[in-house]
Amino acid sequence: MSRSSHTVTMMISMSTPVSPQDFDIAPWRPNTVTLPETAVQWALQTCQPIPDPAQQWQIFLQALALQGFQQWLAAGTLELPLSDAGQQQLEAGMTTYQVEGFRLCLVAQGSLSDDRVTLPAASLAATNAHAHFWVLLEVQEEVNQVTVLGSLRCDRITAAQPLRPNAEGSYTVPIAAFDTAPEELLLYLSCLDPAQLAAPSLVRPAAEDIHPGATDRPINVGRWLQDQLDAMAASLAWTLLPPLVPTTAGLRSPSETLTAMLEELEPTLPVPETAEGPTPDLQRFGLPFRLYALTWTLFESATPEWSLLLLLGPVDGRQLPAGIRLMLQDQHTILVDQTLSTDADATYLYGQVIGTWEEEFMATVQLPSGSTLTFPPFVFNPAP
Amino acid sequence: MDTASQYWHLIRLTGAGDGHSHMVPQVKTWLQPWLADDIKDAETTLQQRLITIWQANHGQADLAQLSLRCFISHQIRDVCLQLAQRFGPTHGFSARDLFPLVLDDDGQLQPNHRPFTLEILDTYDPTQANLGAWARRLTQHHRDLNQALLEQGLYRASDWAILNDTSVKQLQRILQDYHHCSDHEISRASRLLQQYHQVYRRDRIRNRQGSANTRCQPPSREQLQRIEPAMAPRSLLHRLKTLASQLRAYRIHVRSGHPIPYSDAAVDWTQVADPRQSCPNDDDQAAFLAAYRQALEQDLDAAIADSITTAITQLRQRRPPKDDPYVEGLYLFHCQGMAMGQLAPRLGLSGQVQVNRLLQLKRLRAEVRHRLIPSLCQTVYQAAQPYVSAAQLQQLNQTLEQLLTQEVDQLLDEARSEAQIPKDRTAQSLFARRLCHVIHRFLSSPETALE
Repeated sequence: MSRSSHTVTMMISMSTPVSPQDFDIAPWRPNTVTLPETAVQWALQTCQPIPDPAQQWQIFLQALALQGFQQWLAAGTLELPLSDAGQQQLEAGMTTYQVEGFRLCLVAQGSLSDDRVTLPAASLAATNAHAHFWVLLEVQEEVNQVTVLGSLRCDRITAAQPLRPNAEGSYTVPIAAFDTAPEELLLYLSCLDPAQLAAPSLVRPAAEDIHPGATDRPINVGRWLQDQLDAMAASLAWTLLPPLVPTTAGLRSPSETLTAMLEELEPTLPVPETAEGPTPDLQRFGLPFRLYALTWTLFESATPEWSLLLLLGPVDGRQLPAGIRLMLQDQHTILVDQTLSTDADATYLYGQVIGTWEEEFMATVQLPSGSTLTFPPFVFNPAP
Repeated sequence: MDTASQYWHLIRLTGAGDGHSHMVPQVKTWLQPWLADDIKDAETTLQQRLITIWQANHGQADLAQLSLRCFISHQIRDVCLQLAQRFGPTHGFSARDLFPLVLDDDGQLQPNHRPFTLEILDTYDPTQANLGAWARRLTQHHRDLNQALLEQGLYRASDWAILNDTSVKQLQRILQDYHHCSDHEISRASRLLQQYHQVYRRDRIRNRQGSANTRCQPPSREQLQRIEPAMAPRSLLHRLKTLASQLRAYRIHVRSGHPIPYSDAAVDWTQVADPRQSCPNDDDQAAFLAAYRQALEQDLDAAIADSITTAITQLRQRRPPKDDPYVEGLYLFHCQGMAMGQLAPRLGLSGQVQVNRLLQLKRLRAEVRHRLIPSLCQTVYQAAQPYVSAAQLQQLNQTLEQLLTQEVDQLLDEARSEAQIPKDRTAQSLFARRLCHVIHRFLSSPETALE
């Protein structure tokens, strides 16, 4: 074109050139799968019944990832069938599937592209339910595309850096830890024996003890019956629950949640109305749990006895992680040892112990990461 | 062209589909007196004056608007050119394919339809960004443009998809660590995202059922009202977009750092040492290699044939069937050494991405390898014993990868191949040589077979 006869020598600084980085465009990759409409509709159906929108979306992405991974496996020429990956499993928040005897945990990342992802606690369980591989999938929900990005071998989880478990027993790992290319995952699945992958003893080096208070001084529950917190419990910022109140719908106060749990327990474990107890604040340790302690006295036998009931439940809107364990013991032996299993309907753990006024009890909560929460011993001394 | 003249030159679509610079005399004449002024920082002043006149909406608002549309049209063209430059060669499109989607301003003072340039101008808020950046951003978000890119295998997540897929926890971390926001800003943003999720995610899941349109649309007025009834919809929309762009900035940062977990880049074979020399347990490795070479040829033929047969069975079920182009593509690529880009027209495909998608060479090689290893392990059981731990399997895998990939890579890059041939020439061409041997039984078209 002809130039203007008027010479203008202005530089337009505002029109800076577009840098290549401005195009955050994801090119189609060889391991990208475009889902057919039926797969998408299945994912929509699967997440439909979930009431909590945050959880619903997560399950939707998981379901898409699952469909994408299945298609990706099927697109190759090797026969690698994925175990039954039904709707119910997903609704229960399960992300681990079997392929050729390997347990694969599918980790779905959405459009954001973070530099780290969180591995679900259940996939790191200490039992032999741990995942052999975590498979990272990018789900582009808008365009029904799933890309298999890479995977992480269970014996390599700590290779990049030592990891610390999150409060619920999950681990957050950098994306860079996923060092196995998709094609290499196929190699492992078709050529390796699952038994040859080192068990996750490597997975939990960060287990540690958390003490919600010094363990040398006991907690005197006898004072609770007089509506008082003993000095120890008070120093631990435990709060005495208000009288038990009937449950209402929606968000519940700790006291209401406790009432609801006790109503469920009622047939097998009657709790007298005179029971009293505080709840320690575990959230200040970053744990989304509540521990309820209840005590009452028993005079049926010749020697008066006291009862301690501990209930471990989640804070509102959360769930107890699978693998969490509640233990109660006296000086000699473990009296209560309960672990929340993956397939359990239960949403909380509880244990009751009964002893004479001289006896004392210890309580321990073990997180799926192996970390333990040890409380000072509980003793009973009603004298002021 | 100097940048000031962008204010009186409009980029218009020609009949041939090009974006041509077209002088608008009335705007030029109108601007002339200002340009004679010797003003420092004239560029910002000029743009600001034009915006002020246009927004005042009287007198010469029309001319100011047209001048700004001229400026915007240049930004639109730049985005198209850069997209084509960056992705066009591999994804099979040129800027001419993009221009018709976004260049729709005919330069009328009072246009009959609302051109894209005007849409950009109407949504522009001078307090938030500069006009050039805003125009480029909206062009990159243009729906039809994104659709066209998607058809070429390029996906750009919408703001709404990014907001959907970000948890409040992630948002807090990103705002704190990456954007260094204050606690107040973070809690405000968290609340906003939470409210957005409550409304938009649920609606999205509901609306997607039975609907074919999958792209996330901007929240409707009604949705905005439900997200935050106390705020004017326009400013709420703006806040959400700002939030999305903060997340996008982080996303770009992450992707440019280590975009995907493992590197997909081609291996530079000059940097890969001979496995027999680099391996710590030399003797084991050498013994193993000797044992498997004997079995290699026959097992490799079988593995290649099995893989191709299975692929053909799957591709035959596509509509239209893709098995013939697949076999022909493999033949032309491996046996004729034809480049990927040249293959597309021969196979009736639109571009290199489609060829990649069809041939899946990387996966074919991987799967041949995976079929090969168990049979080789069986044949040379004794020698393979030390290699079956996870770590050593990976090492073995790399050895095979190297042997099998060398010839393929060589064909890909004839010029570089001379410098890259490692010492071991006998094993080098094995994969391609055996593939070419095997593929003849699958070729259906006699003329290709004769080539």
